[in-house]
Amino acid sequence: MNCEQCADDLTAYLDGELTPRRAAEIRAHLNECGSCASEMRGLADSAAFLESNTKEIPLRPEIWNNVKAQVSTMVAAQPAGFFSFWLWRWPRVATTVLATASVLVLGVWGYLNYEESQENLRHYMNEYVTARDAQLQKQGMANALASASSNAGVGIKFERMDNPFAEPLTDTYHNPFRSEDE
Amino acid sequence: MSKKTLDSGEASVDQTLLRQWIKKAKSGDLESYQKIYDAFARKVLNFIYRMVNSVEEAEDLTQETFVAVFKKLGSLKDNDKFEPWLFRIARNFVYQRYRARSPVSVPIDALDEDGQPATQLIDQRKNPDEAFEAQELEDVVQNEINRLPEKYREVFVLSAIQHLSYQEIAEITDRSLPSVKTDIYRARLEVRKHVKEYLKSA
Repeated sequence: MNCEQCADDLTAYLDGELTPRRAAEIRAHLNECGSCASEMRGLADSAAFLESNTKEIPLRPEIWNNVKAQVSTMVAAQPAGFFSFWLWRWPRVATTVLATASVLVLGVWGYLNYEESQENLRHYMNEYVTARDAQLQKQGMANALASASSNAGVGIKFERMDNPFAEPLTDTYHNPFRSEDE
Repeated sequence: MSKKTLDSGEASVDQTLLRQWIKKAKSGDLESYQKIYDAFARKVLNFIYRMVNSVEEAEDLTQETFVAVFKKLGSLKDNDKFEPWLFRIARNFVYQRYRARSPVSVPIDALDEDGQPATQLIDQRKNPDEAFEAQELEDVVQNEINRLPEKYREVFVLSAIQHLSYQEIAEITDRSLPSVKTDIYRARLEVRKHVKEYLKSA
């Protein structure tokens, strides 16, 4: 350890703020270095001078009387009731609790609403799909019937449902086994 | 060498008792709050006095501190940190008062027009014997404290006069431990330089 390192820690050593290991290192250096030892004595002497000549001003009873008068007013103003007491005594805690509770309530409400809307959506989708299936099934049966009737010479016309790409069925039947001339 | 506790008529407070008082005071128990006041008020008063150098202002600010402490007691999360928290509130009141009036401290390296150290509040160096006769040594100590720049003064007072630990001082002043340690060292050197002539062994 050099003198510069020692000097940095002299006050802390004087105040008992060093770790035991560091204090031992300083002590060892002070035993070897006259200059640092002299510096240490100077600091110790001025510390002792301060301690023995520090003027303390007395604590007058009037100070507590004034404090008590003011805090008594605060205690008297303290509201009754569990919740209002909390709000008055610990406004920050109460505000945090209220804010958290509000967020939770909003979150739960929002989640429930979301679930309900999802449920509704599923219901509408199911209805649509069912209706669509029924429609397609009907159309399918109609096509089959129309196809069968056209083959059997019935010539029943069935309306095609909403299929702009389908060619309209002809009214005349077509019997492939009979010639047109007969 | 270990820290000595300045004999201010108050033994260090038993932490278990203090925790009980704080708990009751938080619920509005004035009797418990008075016990807290009795344990710390003198220390706070003298800390403030060292900073503002006026008995009247120190008493006024001590009163404000303890009213504010009662009001904010509910916000104290760790009851074991009561003392640094209390001093922090006191310190804030001191600085609020400081901002309201012109500074009395002189920067440690301030120089006047002739390049000499700026005139201090009371010049004791020209004739220390006369100063010694004219003033009590207590006033000498207070004057030396007054000479220190603000940031050195508070750590010096908290350390050398109030005997708080460096960790507590760092918490009160919201500064790092190394920074506090360095400033205490510089403040002590400065004070030592000026009280040297009053020491029996210079």
